[in-house]
This record gives sequence, C-alpha cells and structure tokens, in this order.
Amino acid sequence: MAEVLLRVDGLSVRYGAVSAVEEVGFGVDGGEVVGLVGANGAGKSSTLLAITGVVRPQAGDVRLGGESIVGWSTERIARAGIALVPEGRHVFSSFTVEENLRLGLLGRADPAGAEDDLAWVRELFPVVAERADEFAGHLSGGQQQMLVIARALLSRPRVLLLDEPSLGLAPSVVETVFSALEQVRERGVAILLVEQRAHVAVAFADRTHVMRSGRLVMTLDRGHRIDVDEMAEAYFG
Amino acid sequence: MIYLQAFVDAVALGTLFALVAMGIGLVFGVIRLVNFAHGELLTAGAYALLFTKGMPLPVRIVVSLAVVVALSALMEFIYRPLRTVSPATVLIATFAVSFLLQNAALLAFGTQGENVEFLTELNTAFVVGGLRIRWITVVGLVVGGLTLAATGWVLRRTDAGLQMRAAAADVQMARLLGVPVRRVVVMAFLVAGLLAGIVTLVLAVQRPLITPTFGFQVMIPALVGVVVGGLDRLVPAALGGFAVGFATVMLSSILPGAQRVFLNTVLFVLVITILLLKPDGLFVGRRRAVERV
Amino acid sequence: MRRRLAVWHLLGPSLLVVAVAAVGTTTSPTIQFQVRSVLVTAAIVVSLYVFVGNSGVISFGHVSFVAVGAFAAGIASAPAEVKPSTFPKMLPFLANLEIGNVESLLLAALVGAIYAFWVGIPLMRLSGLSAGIATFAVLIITHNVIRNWEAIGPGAKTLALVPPTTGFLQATVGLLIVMAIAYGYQRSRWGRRLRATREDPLAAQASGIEVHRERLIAFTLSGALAGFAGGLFVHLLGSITTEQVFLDLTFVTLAMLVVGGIGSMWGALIGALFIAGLNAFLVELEKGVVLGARELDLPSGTRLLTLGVIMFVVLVTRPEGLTGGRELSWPIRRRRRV
Repeated sequence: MAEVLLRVDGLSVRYGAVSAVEEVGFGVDGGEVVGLVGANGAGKSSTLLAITGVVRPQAGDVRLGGESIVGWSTERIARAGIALVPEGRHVFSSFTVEENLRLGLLGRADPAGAEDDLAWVRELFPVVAERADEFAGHLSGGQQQMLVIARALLSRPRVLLLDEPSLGLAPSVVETVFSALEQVRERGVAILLVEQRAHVAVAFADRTHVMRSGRLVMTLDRGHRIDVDEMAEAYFG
Repeated sequence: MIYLQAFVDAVALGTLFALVAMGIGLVFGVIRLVNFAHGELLTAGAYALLFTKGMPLPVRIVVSLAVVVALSALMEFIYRPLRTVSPATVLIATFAVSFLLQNAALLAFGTQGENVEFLTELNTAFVVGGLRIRWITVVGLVVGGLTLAATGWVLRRTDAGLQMRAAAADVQMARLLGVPVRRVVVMAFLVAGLLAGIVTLVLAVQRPLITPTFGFQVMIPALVGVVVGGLDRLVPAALGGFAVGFATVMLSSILPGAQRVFLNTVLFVLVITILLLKPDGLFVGRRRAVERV
Repeated sequence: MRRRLAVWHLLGPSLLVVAVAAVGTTTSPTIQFQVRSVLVTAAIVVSLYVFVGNSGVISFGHVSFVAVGAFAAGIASAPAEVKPSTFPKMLPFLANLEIGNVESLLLAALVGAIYAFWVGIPLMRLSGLSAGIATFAVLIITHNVIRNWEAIGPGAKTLALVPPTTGFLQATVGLLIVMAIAYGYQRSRWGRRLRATREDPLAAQASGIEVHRERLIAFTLSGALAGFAGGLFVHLLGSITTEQVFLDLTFVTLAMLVVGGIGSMWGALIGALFIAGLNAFLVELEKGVVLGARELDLPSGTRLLTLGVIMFVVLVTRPEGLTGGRELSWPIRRRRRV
C-alpha cells in the first residue's frame, strides 16, 4: 500500500518550556487540499516550520513519500519537494520580479520542464510577466503574494504549504490566488492550507483540521456549514 | 593640474579600496561577520610574492592568488564555531585572528620588511599632457575596473551569484527556497579571497616593501568605507571603499603642506560626520527601508 | 544574603587585587614591574567595562581617553626645567607647568571626562557597527592630533622624565578606586537604567529611559576612569610615546574584557589578570626557564602568537567569557542558579 505523500505523525514542538504543537498527526496526498485552521497561537505556523525543518520537532515524524525527513536541513527539505509560502509575503524586495522567479527555478530538483512551468505561472499570474524587470519591493501586497506563490511553484514542489495566503488581500486577488491553487491541485500537488478564517479553508479544502492549543481537536469535511457556536467551541474551547 | 594629477591617483586608490570593501561586504552580507582578518589575506599574498621572487611571472601570480584564496577558505572554516555567538564577540574574535596572523608574520619575517620586486617596470611613469602617470596606476584602474564589473556580473547574472545575494538578503527565506547556504558561504569567502588576491598583485607593485601590516593598513580604511557606504549592500559598500580611497588622496593634495600630517584627522572627522548624518550608510537609499520590514 | 552578596561583589575582587599585589612585592624587580603593569592594565580594562559592559556598545576608542589622560598627566608633571628645551614648540603655559603626582592624576581624570563628554554627545546616538567605527575614528583622530600638534604634546618624540610614582601602592590603590567607582555606578540608578537599555533598548525607551543620556553618563564616567588609568600608566612607565596608547593597547584591552566576560566587573578584572598574567609569564619563558632537567626556551614572538590563539579559543568555547558575564559568586554558599 502506497503511503500518502505527506504524513505527519505525533508531531510535538516546544520552545523552551512552552509547548506549541502536541502530538499532531495528519496526511495530505497528491492532488488533495487539507486545511489547518485555528486561532492565533494555536500552533499552525509552528507545524509548518517543523515540517520545513526551520524548527526541530521535539517528537514525532514527518514523512515525504514514505521517507522520514525529520532532522534534514531546511534547504534539503526544500529540494526534496516541499515548498513553503510563509506568512507575510517574503519577496526579495531588492531583487527584480524576474530574479525572484529565477530563485524559485534554482530550487528545482529536476531542471527539465522549467520553461513550461515558467509559461504556466505567467499565465496564472500575468502580473509577474508584465512587471518582470521591476523591483519586487515596488509591487502591491497582492502582487507580492502572487509572486511568492509563483516562485514556490517554479521549484516544482510535490507539497505546497501556504501560511495565511489570503491575509490582507483584496477579494479579487483572493479569487485569483485560489483559482490558481485549484490548478495546482489538479497537477497532483499536495496542498496544506493554513488559515485563520475557517470558512475560507472549508470552502476550498477536501477536509479541514481544527487546531487548538497545539492539538487537533476536530475535522471538518468540505463544504461543512459553519456554525458560529460550534466554531467558537472548537477555536477557544 | 595638481588636482588633475591627484584625481587620477585618487581614482586608482579608490578602485583598489572598493575591491577590498566588496570582499568585506560580501562576507558580511552572507553571514553577518566583519572579517577584520581580511587584510591579512593581502599580507599573505604579498609574502607569497616575496617567496617566489625570481620565479617566472605567471608562477608568482598563480601562487600568490592560490595562497590568498586558500587562506580565505581556511578562515571560513575557522569562523564556523562563531555562528551562534553575539556580534560583539564575533568582532573581537576576527580581530584576534587578524592580530594572530600579524604576529605570526612578525615572528616569521620580522618588522623590517623586504622588497618584493614584483613587476617593477610598471612603477615607471609616462607623461601625458603634463601629467605624470605610473603604468601601475593605469593597470590598477583597468584591472580593478574589470574585476568590479566581473564581480557585479557574477552576482547579477549567474545562479551562484543570485543565491549569494538571496542568502545575504534573507537567509531563512533563501533556505526555504533550497539555496544551499553552507556552500554559498564558502563561495562568498572564495570570491572575497580572489578579490583580495587581485588587489594584492596591484598593491605589491605600488608598495613593494612587504611588512606584517601590509594588508592591515589597507583593510582599515576599506572597512571604514564599507561602514560609511552601508554595509549590508554590496554596491554601497564598494562605493564607500572607493570614497575613502578617493578622499584620502584628494585631501592630501588639497591640504596645505604643514597641515598634511593632519590628513587622518580631517578624514575621520568626515567619517564621523557621515555616520551621524546617515547612520545606515551614505549610499543606501530608501529601498533599504522596504527590505527591513 | 543580597546585601552580603553586594558587598562581596566588590570585596572579593578587591581581595584578589590586594593578594596579587602582595605576592608581586616578593618577586624579582623585573617581575615586580610586570605585576604593577598588570594592575594598571586592569584599571584600564575596568574603565572600558564601565561603558562597554553596561551599555553593550563596543567602543574601539577608549584608548583615546587613556592617551589624553596619560599625556595630560605626563606633560603636567614632567620637570619644567627640561620641557621648554626638549619641546620648543610647546605652549609656554604647558611647558612651564609642573604639578604633583596626585594633582596630575586628578587632571588626567578631568581631561578624560571632558573629552569623553564632548565626543559622546554626538557619538552616543550611534549603535552597533556604526558606533564601533565612529569610536575607532576617534582613536585615529586622537592619535593623529597628539602625535602632530606639537603645541600641546611631545609630537613624535618620547615624553620622558615623568616621575615614576606608580609603585605597588599607587597601582593597587588606583585600581581599587577605579573598581569601587565602577561598581558603585553599576549599582546606582543610572547604572541599572543603562543595563536595562542593554537588554532591550526599545522596551527601555518605552518605559521612559533616555538611552542617549544614560549612555553619555556612562561614557563620560568611563572616560574619566580611563584618563585616570592613563595617568597611572604614564607614571608607571616614566616615559611614553603615542604608539604605546594606540592600536595594540586597544586590541589587548578589548580582548581582555571579552575573554573575561563583557557583562561584569569581575569579568573585566579576571580577563585582565588572566591575559596580562599569561603575557608576563610568556615574557619570562622567552627569556628561558629551566623546567626539571630540560631548559625551555621559546623563540621571541611566540608570546603574542600564543595570546592570539588563546583568545580565539576562549571566545569560541566560552563566548560569554571566562566568568560568563556574572559577578563573583559567594564562595561558601553558592547562589543557586535559576
């Protein structure tokens, strides 16, 4: 039996005496979108940082295609096919848009198909082609977010992790971003979508895990109608 | 005419300082380490030229460059334990390495110094339009200019250069994009070493007396230039180095004879003034503010 | 317990200083000189600590204040009969001046304080590497001016015939005074406020502490102590050139502070005693020592090399310095670490 693409098991993260993530487990398969929601400080971002090797988990396992990647360096994990779009649009602002994209291409394990992928992201986000020679720092917030996602896609990830991709974006931009993500899903990429706003995730993800104080407390199916009381309970206990 | 003469020399010295500054800035950018021992790279290269005195020119050049680049790589290795240490301690630690190497040279070769006799024919001057110009000034300008341009090209156009700049701008994000940061750091030291090696070759012609402080004397003004220019960007750092070299020569020709001994005072008062007015760097524009947020 | 500790933090180091001096008096004349210079160097390092340790800002310029103190005390106390002929360009007022030992030390402290105050007004606005380079610039300027402005100093010549009054008594008492003032400052309101800015400048500023003013107070006090130590230094040597209070001394004193532990007076003292002691030991080794049946004779120059290596190793293995930046702990009932 083939294992799911990304498997997280019993993951715990501590910062000194503070426990951020406790025994969290879930899986994301190729072509699947899994949501991860919860209040501020519930441990969502820490989970992402542990998966990408930025912080080292206290316990538990992270497997990519069946292989454990715990203890690998961040750059090795990135090259193995896990791309993170972190919160807060980390473009290289003193680089041109084009140079930002080139950095994404350099992260590919396999250079074949780079041209096709470039054409594809330019189609998904025309702005990265239109403003190729401008400094990334001069783009608007929404455009920077698109650039960061485009850059991540160019590294040809098998797993795409997104941390609050819709935060602070205009509704039209959010629409562009999510329709692009839909295409990414169709290409067989596993997507883990971290959101603070549950309805965004539930509308898009195949299933959505709710996190509270570092633990998974509930799983919602796609299109689940969100009941305010139920969510308050799930978020804040 | 005197000023024109000084201008030519000022540009030549400025170019060399810019190369040294670029090396310091490159390493600082990637691992936030001010390498005080950068000057000793030059010193090592100069002693390598001294040791190969009498050998064919290409051998001397290659050996000297190789020694400098190798020493730079060795420094990268020695500095590895410093990654987790506070900035103040790092500063003192690289200062200690500089001090150590200077004293090793002192122990091995003494203070007197020796003439390196390297490309002495380039030290002769030709006269054009009333200006006396030494050949090495021209060679230094050409070599320095080409090296700066080549470094710029490598950083902008090659993959390795792009990764180096990415690691310098935001190391965490670079890692997340799969940039092999360790390799990039080694590369930065190798490039810095190569730049230092090239400067050594030009400088050894201009200042043929090789002493243990050969490189230190150049590193200090270049480092000052780096900080004045703006040290977390390469172009401002290089411009800062150039500015200090340029100002040194111009000031010494502008100051009246009796006051010339106070050159350093004037120069460093200027440095302090600039630091006070633009603490982030003279050549750093508004863009930096964006990067910091 | 707290009170006793507070007393011990000053008393313990003071006892050590007195012990070192006492042992020093029993040794041969060359070693006696070494021990006295260790004590004076320690005074310089403690004065450096007052600013660097409490503010967390590296200063490469402190030897400037040592230099002005040394030259002020030296010129003011050198005999008036010889000065006008040795230094013909010196201002008559200075050339004809001749004051006593204690007065010259007070003058050194005053000059150091005034100089540090004026320099500090603009410079204390900087921090980080800019502050480092700016203070370094002050060092270069000070050296350049003293060396070349012959109206106020000996120029490139050696200033000689300064009364060699820094014997064991003066070196020890001088160091103890510097330590007491440094410790008193550190415990004072000003010292505690400045230490708060070291930990977190923004938070300190938010709670109403004026970083610039607190740094300036420390810088001025530190300059006064450095000037005073410079006075001790010139009276120790009996003669001085500008090169003796320039780059080498800057490096050595900073290294001592960092090796000992930048954050505590105990660290400053231990660093100074450790490195200066090691230095003195190596000086003797270079002269040749019989160890058992074999004679150990190191080539000259090994000393500075060894020092460099030891400093680097200490910095890498104990980045917080030998003392870990803590004050001396009470020897009988050790404070429990939280």
